[in-house]
Amino acid sequence: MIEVEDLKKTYGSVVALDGVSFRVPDGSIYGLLGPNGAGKSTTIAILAGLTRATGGRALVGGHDVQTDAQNAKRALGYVPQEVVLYEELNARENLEFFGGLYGLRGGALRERVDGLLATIDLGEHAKRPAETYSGGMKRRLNLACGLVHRPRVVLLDEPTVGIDPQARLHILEMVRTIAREGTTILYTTHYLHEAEDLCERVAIIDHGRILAEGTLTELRAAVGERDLVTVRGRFEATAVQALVARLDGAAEILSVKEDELLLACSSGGDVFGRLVRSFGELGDPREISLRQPSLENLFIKLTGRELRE
Amino acid sequence: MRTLAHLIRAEMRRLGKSPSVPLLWLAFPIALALIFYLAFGSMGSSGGGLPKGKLLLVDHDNSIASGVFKQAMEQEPMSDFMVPVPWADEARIPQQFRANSASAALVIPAGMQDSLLNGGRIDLTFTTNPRQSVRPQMIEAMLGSFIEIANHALHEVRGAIDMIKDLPNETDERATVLAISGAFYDAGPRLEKLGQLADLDVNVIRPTPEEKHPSRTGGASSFFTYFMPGLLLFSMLMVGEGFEKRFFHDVVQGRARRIAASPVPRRLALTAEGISILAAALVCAVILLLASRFLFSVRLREPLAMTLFLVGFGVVVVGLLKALYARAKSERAAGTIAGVVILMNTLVGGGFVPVEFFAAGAQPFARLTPVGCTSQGLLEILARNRDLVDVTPLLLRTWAWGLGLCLLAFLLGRRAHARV
Repeated sequence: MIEVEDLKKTYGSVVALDGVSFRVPDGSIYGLLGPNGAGKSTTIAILAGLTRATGGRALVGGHDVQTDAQNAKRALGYVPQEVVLYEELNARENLEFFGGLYGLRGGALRERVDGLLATIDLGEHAKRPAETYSGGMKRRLNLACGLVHRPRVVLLDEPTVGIDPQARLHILEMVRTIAREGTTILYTTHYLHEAEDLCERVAIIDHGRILAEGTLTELRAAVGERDLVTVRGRFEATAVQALVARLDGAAEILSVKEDELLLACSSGGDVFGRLVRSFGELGDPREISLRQPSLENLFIKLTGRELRE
Repeated sequence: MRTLAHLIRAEMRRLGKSPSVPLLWLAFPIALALIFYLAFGSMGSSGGGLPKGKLLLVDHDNSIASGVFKQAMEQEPMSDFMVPVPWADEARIPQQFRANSASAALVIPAGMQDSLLNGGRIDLTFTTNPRQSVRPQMIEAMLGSFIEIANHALHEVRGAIDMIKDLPNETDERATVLAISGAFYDAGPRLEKLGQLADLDVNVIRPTPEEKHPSRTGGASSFFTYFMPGLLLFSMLMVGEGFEKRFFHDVVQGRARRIAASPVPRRLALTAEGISILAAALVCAVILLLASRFLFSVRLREPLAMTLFLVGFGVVVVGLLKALYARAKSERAAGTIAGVVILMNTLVGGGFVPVEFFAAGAQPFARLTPVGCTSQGLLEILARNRDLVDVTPLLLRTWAWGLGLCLLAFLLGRRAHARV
């Protein structure tokens, strides 16, 4: 289990975390979504014992990461965003090294390493130096190095960045497997569909604050079953406001930029049709798109921007 | 302890996977040692054959005969091996020798021309520069050949000289000159017969050479006995820096973060790194000591004192490099700063040239530095046969530096291990 209560972290005058709280039940996969600089990596760093929180507290497997760091770390598996391996060593040696850090030795270590090599499909390549592996192979090994000591809690910091779809599917399947075995997983990602596929609960974080938190059903409900309409082109701000006012609350402006307008509108009725018919009044629209309610919609609604921005 | 051993073993395994890395670390100091030896090691034992020796010519006679003699010295083949330089002040010749400005001196005595005309013996004085060896020998050999030829020529023209000597003042000039010329002409064909005459002789004076520094009195063995300690310490610093750079690269690459996220305490990880650096530096030292022993016959003695010095300096290496890299922001900046500090330490501490070659005023300061006290201690053991008791003050200084630097590194690096 992971428990985070009112976690705060400042770097000088920069506030990285501003009272973050969430709870990850045993054996579940919890998604932490947010753009770059939102506070995901700082949260992970505090949980992994790499940096100290300025305020609040965090428990991993029931152990406070600051006052009982050693036990918290024993319960934890940390898989960093970057591929962090000893490139000169082969897969087996890397796994043995990281297993050794957690006190695994001898036959138990060998047995665990053999099992992991089979799981990540690197058994045939176990004697090749890691520097000769493909990106996907390295990612799989990177993940396995965080699992070699059978941790109760695993922190996965964007484990699928920069790999091909096939390797991504392989990693996602591994994550599901270890979750089924009872491991608690905190999963950060940029890819919303990954969170939708994997996570039972999700928190959306931005500027060091949790903006929304809950199961996917709860979060979808929070979107209000509304469609998301994006219009690109040139707009007159007053014309946009007048148009929305005429729709009697059936549409809401989420954000207006120089060349992009973001609206949430009711799914029922002919709201979208009325919007399309009236677009000529806005100025010079060139493109219009409609998206169904999704986590991404919620994210955009909450932050006013796309996750990748 | 098991975790510590696990960390060190992994580091050694990594190193074993790329054996060219330590060889590269060692290549620089070894190349430097060879360059040193080739450049300075033979100084004084071979002056080099190509430059001509400078011969100071002191003429106390200042006559026609002595002028002819000096002119002859300037002709080939003599001029191929020496540069005769007229020199007035015989008393200042030793000064020229000390300044290494001349290879030899030849003094023509007053009365040379009179002795020549009277058939008497002429004693030239030839003095060699004790600071040089080959060039004075070359000049001496050439002078010997020249004197032998000159003696024979003198013998052959003796008749003509006698005629000059016997000339009465009122002699008919034309007939006399013809007769003298004829006598010199007849001497020419007879010059082939080298004779037994020895009217012209040269006394060679070879002053006892001044006492040279022991490092230059022998061959490679004595040279390396003096220069090896400094280069060995420089090598240890270089190898240590190579290791520390790898550790810093691990920090940059995130590997240190991953270790920091494990239950391994930071102090244990730092200790493992320190021991790895120490071990690598000592292996390097042993390799260079063995090379010195078997390639240059440096006599290794006082193993306990040597070990204490080398381990102490290994601790210096660990502390210095950990302190230098503790707060580094980038690999490039850290590498540059470490390189400068290592070079300055080595230079100031007599790593490249023994401290005792420094100016007298600079020596005490140099011996206070970590490289200075350690290199001097090793030199005292190897070159002067001192024992552990004699070098204890230097040994304590080395260890004080080592422990002090390690403490500084610990204070600076407390939070540097786990960068976020």
